[in-house]
Amino acid sequence: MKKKQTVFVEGPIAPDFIAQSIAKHQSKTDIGAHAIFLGQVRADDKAGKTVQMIEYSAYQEMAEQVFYEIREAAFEQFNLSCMHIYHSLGVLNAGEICLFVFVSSPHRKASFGAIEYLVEEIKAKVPIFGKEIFETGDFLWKQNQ
Amino acid sequence: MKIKVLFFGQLQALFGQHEMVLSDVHATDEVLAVLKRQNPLLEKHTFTMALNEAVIKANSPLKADDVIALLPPFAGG
Repeated sequence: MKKKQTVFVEGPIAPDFIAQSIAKHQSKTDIGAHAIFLGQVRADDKAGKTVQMIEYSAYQEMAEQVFYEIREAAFEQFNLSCMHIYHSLGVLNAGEICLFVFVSSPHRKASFGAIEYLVEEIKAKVPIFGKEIFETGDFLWKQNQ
Repeated sequence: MKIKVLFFGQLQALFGQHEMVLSDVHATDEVLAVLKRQNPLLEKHTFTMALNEAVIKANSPLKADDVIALLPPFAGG
């Protein structure tokens, strides 16, 4: 269950893919709780302009390694049955899903704790970069708070 | 001795390239000095450095074929 996974997907994460991921866990009956976090591209207003899309890029080799370390740390801290992380690369429109974190555990507290831990770690430590592109065609580089 | 420097995001745009090979540098501070000479605007950017895919916080010695990356602020999620 702790095998090294490929996290990056090209383009947005489809709601159907998320639904299928949930369905795949129905055979794992030791699980009693799932927690899911979905990151969505926000149409931020910046200096009177609205973000229309974000283009994501990454230092992929390092990012995969950091994702692996974050996963291992989460498995150590929380009593999890399984964990899946997907992040988009390329251009996504506002409203599309760019991050899908899915944890499962026998009981709810481990899932609640792990999902917050994972999302915060991903935002702080994974070398992913985002170009916020406005309707006007110009852009700003996104920076996590 | 050659090492490789990788640029990402706005720093890739600043240097106009993703990858650069440097010779005769023996520590990460020397690499920074070379890059700032090449492009003084680097001074105005916020970034962290990674050496062989691990973030470094202090000057670090280099060996042949090391890979340094200049990483602008992260924006994942």
